Amino acid sequence: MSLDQLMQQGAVWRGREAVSEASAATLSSGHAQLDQWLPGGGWQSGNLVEVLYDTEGCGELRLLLPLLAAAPKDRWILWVDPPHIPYAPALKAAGVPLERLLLVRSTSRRDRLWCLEQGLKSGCCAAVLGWLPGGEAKALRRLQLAASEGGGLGFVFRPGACRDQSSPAPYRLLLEPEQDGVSAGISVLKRKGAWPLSRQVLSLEGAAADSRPAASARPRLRLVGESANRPRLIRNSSGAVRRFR
Amino acid sequence: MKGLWLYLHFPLLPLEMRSEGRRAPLALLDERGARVRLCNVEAAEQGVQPQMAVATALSLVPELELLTPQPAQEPRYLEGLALWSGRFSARVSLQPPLGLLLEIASMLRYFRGLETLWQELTTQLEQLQLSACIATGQTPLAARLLALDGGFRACDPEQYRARLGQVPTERLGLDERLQSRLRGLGLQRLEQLLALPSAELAHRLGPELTACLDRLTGRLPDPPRYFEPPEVFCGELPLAYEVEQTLALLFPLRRLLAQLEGFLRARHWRALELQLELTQQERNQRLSVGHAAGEQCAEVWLELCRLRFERLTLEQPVIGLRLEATQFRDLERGREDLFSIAPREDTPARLLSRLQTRLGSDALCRLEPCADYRPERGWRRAPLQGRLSSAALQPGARPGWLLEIPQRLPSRQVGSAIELLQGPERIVSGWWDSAPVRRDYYIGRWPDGRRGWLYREAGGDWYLHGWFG
Repeated sequence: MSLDQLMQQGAVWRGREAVSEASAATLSSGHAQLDQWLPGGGWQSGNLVEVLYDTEGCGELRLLLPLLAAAPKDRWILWVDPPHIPYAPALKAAGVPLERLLLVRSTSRRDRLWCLEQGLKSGCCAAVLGWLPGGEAKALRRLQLAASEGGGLGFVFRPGACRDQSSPAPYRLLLEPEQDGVSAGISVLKRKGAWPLSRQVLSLEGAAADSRPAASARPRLRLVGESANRPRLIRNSSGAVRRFR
Repeated sequence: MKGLWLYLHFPLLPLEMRSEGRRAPLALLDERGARVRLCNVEAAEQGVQPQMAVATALSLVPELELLTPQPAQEPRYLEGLALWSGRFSARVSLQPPLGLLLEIASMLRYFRGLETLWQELTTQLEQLQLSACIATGQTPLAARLLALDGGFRACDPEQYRARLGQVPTERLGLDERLQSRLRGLGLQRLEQLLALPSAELAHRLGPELTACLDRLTGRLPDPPRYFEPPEVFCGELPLAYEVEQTLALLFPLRRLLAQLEGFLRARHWRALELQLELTQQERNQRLSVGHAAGEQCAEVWLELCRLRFERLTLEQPVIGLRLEATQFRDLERGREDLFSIAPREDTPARLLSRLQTRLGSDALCRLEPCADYRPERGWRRAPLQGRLSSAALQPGARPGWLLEIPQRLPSRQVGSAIELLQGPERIVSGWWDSAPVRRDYYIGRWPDGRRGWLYREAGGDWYLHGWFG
């Protein structure tokens, strides 16, 4: 049997074809609705995503958590200078792999940009998250180049006032809070392969564990406090007494 | 199978090891300081020659820089180069004063032919800014003679024999008496000597000459003494000038790191940490540069050192470098995917090392949840390696952002502008230590729809503690 015959039967897998398939790889954002708005069904890897919002609480984390939770186990998730403490219990509840989450605190703008660039360039980060002020078009261009070199996704968070500034990031989203508290208003200012979209409401329900309703509305009294070295009695909500170690 | 040897002759070694990459006319004085022993190309172009009196040289080239010799250091230069050449061959022999002999027959398969090896060798020498005459030969002596005679690369045996025949007999380094007899006999080239029957030669000119010729042609074995690399790496390089800027240290450092790389390659090791000592007039400045997973490549180490230098201020001008590597790890082959489309992937460890070197090791951390009900103690910074604690999940809803310092809210806003959605969740804890907590936590909605995590102290004050981002 000749090689041609084998190829026609599809019995030979060729590396060249696999490369062309994979080069247009998209990563699902984790929100079905958002995926529909993005051509290709998700973020195209190797790009910078600019997320504009004014103050924390607009859904900026819930937007990303499903993506971070699905990050490959051998890649880092780099957070460079977040505005507050990313709260580990909440991230863990959302399924984010904390073993691979790296928090970087830099002291200057220059170091911050350098970290972002290194993370994006290295190709060993699934996502690089950075918080930048307005008026950074030149820096963003560098970051975009670094992202396309390394093939990861970069998320840059900037104030909403930057919406009118031009930006080299291939994806730009403006996030605004919604009254119901579980959705966010998203305007896609720029996206790869299609025209911009005006403001639409994206439900972020289920994206994070924080949308779980609390068990009861009454003040719950607990005997609490466990330090690892002392055994302690604790009464849980069903009334059973357990011994904690 | 015939052996193949490569001889490197460094005619300007004592000068070039101290030039630190400068392109100015330089001359190295002899031990009495009266005559020029060596001069570089820039000086030679302007007429300076070895053996010239210093006064003559200075009158020809007034800006000529004169270097005093350091005879004690010179054997070290060659040892350093022997370490460096460990990347080309595991069998290296020192040929004092200015030569190195490498056994390369066993390395040709690894380098896929002499061509590649030769190219890599010349590129490396260019990077280190060292001039060398390189020659290959089928015996150590032949390689040496060809290198001293200007260099040669063996192509086919015919050419090799013809080239070897052209070497003047003076290169054999015979004693003066024998030399003059050869001259008197009109034997000026090796081919003339080799054409004569050896029994006759031995009879007339003594067995010394025939032994030498037998070693040259390989009839008599001539195994060289191989260089034994030390167990730990310690390289020293005195600088010719006082250096006041850290970036100017990179060039001499590159040489030391190239030696280190050769040392590591010969032993199949990776270095985990380097100790760099900057020798100064009164005291020395020490710094250490680490790599999380260990590394061989000189370029990677050079970049890490450059990053480290950016954070460094020199207390005094530097007059010497000393590089030590004591922690090693065996080299394992990395996992490489033939069809991987990722263009250039750093290992995670390399990224971490780079970030840590520039920002300091405190700037990086991981996060882990903690078994404590107090929100501010419900997380902690964790080291970059190792397993994280799998603390029990905290009950109830927790925000993605936690404010470092709770923010005071005016009491009248709560309940009016800020609508309370959920709560209270009472957390009373920490009565056994210095930070007791007694709070009722609520989830509140701000007028624009954002949701925050707020609490009321026992005293009735309201604080914002987090955002549901």
